[in-house]
Amino acid sequence: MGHTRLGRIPKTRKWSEIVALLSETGKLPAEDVARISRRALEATETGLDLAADDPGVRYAFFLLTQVALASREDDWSSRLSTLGISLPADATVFDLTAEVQGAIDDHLLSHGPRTDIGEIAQQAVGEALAATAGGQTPSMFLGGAENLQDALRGFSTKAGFAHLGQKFFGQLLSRYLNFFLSRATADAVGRGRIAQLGDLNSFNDALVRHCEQSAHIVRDFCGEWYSKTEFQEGIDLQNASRFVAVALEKLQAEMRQQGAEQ
Amino acid sequence: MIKPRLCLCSGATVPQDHPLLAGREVLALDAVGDDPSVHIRLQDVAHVFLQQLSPRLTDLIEIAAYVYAADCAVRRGQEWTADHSVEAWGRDFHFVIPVRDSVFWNRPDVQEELRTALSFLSDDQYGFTFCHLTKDRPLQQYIELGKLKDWPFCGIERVVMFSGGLDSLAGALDSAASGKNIVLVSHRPVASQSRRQRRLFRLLKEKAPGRMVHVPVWINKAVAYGREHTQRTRSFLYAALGTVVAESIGAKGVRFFENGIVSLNLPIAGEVVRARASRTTHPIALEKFTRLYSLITERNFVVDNPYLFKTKQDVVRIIAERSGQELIPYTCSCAHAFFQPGTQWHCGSCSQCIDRRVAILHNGMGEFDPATDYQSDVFTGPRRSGADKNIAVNYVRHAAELKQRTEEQIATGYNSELSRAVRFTPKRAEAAAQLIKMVKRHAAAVCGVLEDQLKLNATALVTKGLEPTSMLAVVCGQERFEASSKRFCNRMLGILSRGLPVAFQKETPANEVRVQEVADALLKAADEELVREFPFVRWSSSLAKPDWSVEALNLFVELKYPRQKSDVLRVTEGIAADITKYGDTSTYTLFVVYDPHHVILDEAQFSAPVVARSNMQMGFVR
Repeated sequence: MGHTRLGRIPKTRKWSEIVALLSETGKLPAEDVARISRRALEATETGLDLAADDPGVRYAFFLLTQVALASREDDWSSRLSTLGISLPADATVFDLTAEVQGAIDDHLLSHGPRTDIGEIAQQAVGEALAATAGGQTPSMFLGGAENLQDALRGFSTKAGFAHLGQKFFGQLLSRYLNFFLSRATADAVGRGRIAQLGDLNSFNDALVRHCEQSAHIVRDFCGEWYSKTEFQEGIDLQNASRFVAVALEKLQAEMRQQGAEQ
Repeated sequence: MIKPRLCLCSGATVPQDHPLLAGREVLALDAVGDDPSVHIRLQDVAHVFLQQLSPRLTDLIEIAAYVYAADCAVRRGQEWTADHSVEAWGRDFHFVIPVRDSVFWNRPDVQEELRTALSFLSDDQYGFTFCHLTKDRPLQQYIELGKLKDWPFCGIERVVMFSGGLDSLAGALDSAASGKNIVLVSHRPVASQSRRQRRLFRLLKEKAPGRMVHVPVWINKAVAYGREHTQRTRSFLYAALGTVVAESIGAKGVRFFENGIVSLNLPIAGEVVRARASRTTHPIALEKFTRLYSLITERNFVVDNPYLFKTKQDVVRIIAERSGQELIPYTCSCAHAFFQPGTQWHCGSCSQCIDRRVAILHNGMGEFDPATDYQSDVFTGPRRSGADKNIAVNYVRHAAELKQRTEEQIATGYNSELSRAVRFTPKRAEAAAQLIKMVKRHAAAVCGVLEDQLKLNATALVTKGLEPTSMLAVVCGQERFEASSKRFCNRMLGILSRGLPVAFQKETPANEVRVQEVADALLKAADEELVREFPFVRWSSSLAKPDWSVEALNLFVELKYPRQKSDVLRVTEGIAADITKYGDTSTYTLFVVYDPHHVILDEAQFSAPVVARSNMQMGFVR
């Protein structure tokens, strides 16, 4: 009964050019990722502009800030519970990320609608938290609430949140671009630059690396905004949403510039 | 954006100026009458069933049927909005349905469970207005009474949903092995039951030590309504029908048997976001069914899936352990129902066919799943460009990726999907770890079967004898040599195009040998694995040698230099001789023509005799 629906790319000149770019001979796509991703961004930038107003994107980022802030508190469980995150005494990193995902799902039930970009942001938050906090513990599936809080506390500082923010925006962008590109790259396997399946995997990996590196442009910006805003007025959904809009603009500008330099 | 729909069901109407009509297109649906938009038929039902079917359960059948019909009727993904950057995927439905138990259906908690269950399954927004049904509708239209006056047993554990695929066969065999009586509810899209299906149930019945009753249900929608093929709400309808049967015999719930890989349905590609991967038996869907059906039946009613932590390979092993191998040829796994009435039940192209074939071959049970039952061989058959090709590429890529990734990397990369899958599980981290182990087992099995298929088809692959669009040819790189050679050639051409004009900026090379010396230096500086003037190739009684060769790629390179117009004839004759000498070898030959003075006016005409050969290529450097 399982079914996967695969779709088509938009029938536009920009996408025809990207398909041609993938089909032509030349550098491996992984070596040309900056140019390909810039072209994909040009073809889809309106969707990314809309992301700043998406309830899923906004809440996902807001929750990321709140989880980081909660880890500073002595009674962090209480702070988390106000966000709908309830952790058992022996909580692991996975328990935390599962609760965060549940909290976003619950929020969107009443504050939706759910959208593709919102879902992508939710995935990006999961990956950002799992990759950063998971790296501070021996296993994502072992631990205790105190260890977990210790693992997260490092990301509640200005520098720590800068790192978390870079991971989030890098993941958001790479998943967003691959939402479109994967329709074209799979079809291009066996011809042109993507001669074999391995080339496709290399390209996917390169895309993630490229986007995460590009998100370095918002790294310090994230840290400074987080620290300053929490100190001055406290981070809330409104100011977090405004920040997301600005950060996405910066990120898009960076991607355009990097692709143009190729 | 897909236009919101107002679904007026069972003859319901709203005034012209009703707010619900604002911005919505009306879709009239009916499950009864002379020309119903959706057909439902429960067959071989015991006579007592009619007495036990409460008004609320009858409402449930109709609600589920209308939702399913609307789901089929409104297409998605046909257009892009926001300057071609947002795919029109989610839809917005509001239903107006006359019901018998309007007090119950209008309860906020019931509406909430109904809406959230459906939204999770299909990514759509739902609203319901239930009004009281003033004139009752004939229930018999949905029911075909069988021979039984009464069900032969009551209070059984679960009604088993029997789709007729491998998973439900294993589940039925597993359930029957206990010796307890079981009830199977199966669904099919056509009214007539095929010989194969009848035989499957007969053989299954013979294997069951206890009694077994089969309630076939056929559900389809009128052709005019059947445009959208994703049909994500089908499992809601299916489970609703199971619930109705379960309630009539006092069963404690409904049981799906579906392997965890399909239940979880991790996205196989970046484009597969939200319910683009179906959530038919996803743990959240089953939890929501449990809550809703418990409200409807006013008791603890459980909808579960005992195979959540099993792969398809595990499921096939269960069939073997229960000595059910000979039933495998009568099962159908294909997503394309239109194959089912024909002689071949499997298309061989969809992900379900790939899954089935991999699971069978992994268990060494190919003899029970004849290749002739596939319209196209899963591994070596042709695949159309687009979805057929992409599903194969993504399926294999996904499996290879999962095999390579560590458990922690899977938990990170698929964090939101795994989190949802264990949301209602008490020990989530443990359950997630178990799911990841299952995913790794699946990935290893897929890669193992592919390796076996590669060995089986090694000769065809090397000699390029495989269908070029087949899964093996595409993912294992049948064109690899050629592609590698071509890519190498393109790199060489790039180096020479950048280097030669610079090297000869202040010098016009005296002859071809001089150009070759400089080219040799440039290529060796770029660390290319070229060997100069090697090997000797015998042609008739003479020996020839290419300017360069790359043994690993079976590649010969010839560099030509027409210094002036009068040289063009000499160069052409040289190329003609090379074509003759190298054409019969199994090598790939690149001709590089250094033409700084543009003495060759028509490149296409000049290169035509070379590019007409699949093992030759020509490039111009200026």
